[in-house]
Amino acid sequence: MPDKKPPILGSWKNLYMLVIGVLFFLIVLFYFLTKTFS
Amino acid sequence: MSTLDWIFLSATLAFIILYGIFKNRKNTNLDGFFLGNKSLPWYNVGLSVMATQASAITFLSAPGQAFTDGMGFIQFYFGLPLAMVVLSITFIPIFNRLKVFTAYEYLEGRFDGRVRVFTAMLFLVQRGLSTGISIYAPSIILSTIFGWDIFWTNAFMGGTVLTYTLIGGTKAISHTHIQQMIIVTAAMVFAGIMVVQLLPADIGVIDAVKVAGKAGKVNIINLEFNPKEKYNVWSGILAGFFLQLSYFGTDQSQVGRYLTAKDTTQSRLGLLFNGLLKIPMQFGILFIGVLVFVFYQFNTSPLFFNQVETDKLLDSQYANEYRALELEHKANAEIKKVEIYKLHEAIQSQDEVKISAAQEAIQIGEDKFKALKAKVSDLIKKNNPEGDSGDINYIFIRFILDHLPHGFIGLLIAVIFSASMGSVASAYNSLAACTVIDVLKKRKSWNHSESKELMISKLITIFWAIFCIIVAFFANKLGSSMIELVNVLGSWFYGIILGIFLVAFYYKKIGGQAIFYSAVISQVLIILIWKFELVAYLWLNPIGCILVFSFAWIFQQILNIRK
Repeated sequence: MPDKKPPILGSWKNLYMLVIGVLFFLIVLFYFLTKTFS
Repeated sequence: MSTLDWIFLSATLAFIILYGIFKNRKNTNLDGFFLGNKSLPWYNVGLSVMATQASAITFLSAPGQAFTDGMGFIQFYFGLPLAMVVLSITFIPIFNRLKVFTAYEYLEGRFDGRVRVFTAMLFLVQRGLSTGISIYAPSIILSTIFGWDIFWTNAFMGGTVLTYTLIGGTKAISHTHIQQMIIVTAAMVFAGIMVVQLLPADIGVIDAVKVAGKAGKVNIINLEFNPKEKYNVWSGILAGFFLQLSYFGTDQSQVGRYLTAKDTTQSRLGLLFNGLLKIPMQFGILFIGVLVFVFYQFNTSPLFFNQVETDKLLDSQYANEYRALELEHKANAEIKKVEIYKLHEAIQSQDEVKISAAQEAIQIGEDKFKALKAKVSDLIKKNNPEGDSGDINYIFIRFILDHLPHGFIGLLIAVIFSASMGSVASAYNSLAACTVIDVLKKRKSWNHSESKELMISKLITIFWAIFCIIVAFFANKLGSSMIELVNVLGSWFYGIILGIFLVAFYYKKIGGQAIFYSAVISQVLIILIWKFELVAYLWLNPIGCILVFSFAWIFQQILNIRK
């Protein structure tokens, strides 16, 4: 059975990239928070 | 607790339980009881997955952990979003295509019945024990703080869940998860706001973070690779990825959640929703712990947060020793308070020399605080060997009771119950599903009508509830942080189970015999590696997985040569 498209971002690949991108963003953000405040 | 607290607590719990029962009381077969007739939308799946993972200990232990060791624990979750993506690509389409009730069903078609039953047994042992701890952890804290009998607290905690799990099945669990998550999130946000309000007037959130940072609590990221260290970026991303992949992909308490979705799209969206929100949510919980730490820098904290044990000390032969330690603590706290204000002023004026001097003085004060706590812990052990000498789990609840308004205390206790109920309900349902589908239904003599199958499933649910409550009764002496203990227990088995599934998906040349023996040997080796403390526990997950792969390949070669 072919994959149905997700309701946002057009394709599953884009949605997966969003999840991985947010993870990467959070790690970078936490790194700067650690650097700034520690 | 005041009358207002009791009203809030009872009303919240009654609403959750009755809603769950009335909305979903018509189950006629196993499909309805275990899969909710595959009818749930993505947001329901996502919240259900999150509520299953976030047990009461998440909300009790995590703020205490941040208070004690800072925010480095967040790194534990870094592998989770990656695992959600891999599950969406690989596991979900396979499980949905095969229309399985449990994850282990797939293994029989791929290998043989023996591998399916062995894997199901590993799950049953691990989940049965973990659920006992999930019941015990909040029970012991609540019973200690409020003087409730531990027997009845365990029984109430494990028993209330059984009512709606039994009547409403998996759909009731998913629906109650929505309420539980809304209540938990709202209460934790409110708790965070309250802590900020309780800080001195001239200390805002940013000031609080700066002070916490200089006291070493904003150590969110550690880039150093050290396999013996529990939390760093690498253990979180690499080892944590294996743990989360195994937990969400092969632990029926989670698989059962997303199998209730309408279709593959809804299952995927639910898991990706979890992948996006889990780390920010955990960050928020840890951040509350850091704010509580800052609050206690400007206000003298208890030397030991478990007041019941310290009250016992005051009634014992060690009373004078304890009082002397308390006096020392108060003097130390006053000195530290002065230094904290100095640090705050130095940060404002950006005077690096003064910042360093204040930091050094605060560190000396912190070390002394920890040393005094260790002495109290020793006294507690001497006075009451059965007593709980760990303190991490009591920090947040002590703060709630001492400093938050009545009514809200009841609501936060309801949060603890709700969170516990959320994860325990999923566990009961998955334990019953696995026992019925993977073990009992495989017997040749199994030939029952739908209604009888449903009745047997309900009896098995009752059996597992009783088993978990019994484990909770015996789960004493568990040591420091219970959130960690549950994860350690999971790490014993998850790598092996994940290894079996990954071989099944990606290594088609391996047969049932080779995978079975490799799994047994790998399980023994993992327990030995843990026992001799060769690596930090998170690494047991990838190691277990690699061992299963390696041994399976070797055994398959031997079997091929013999043929």
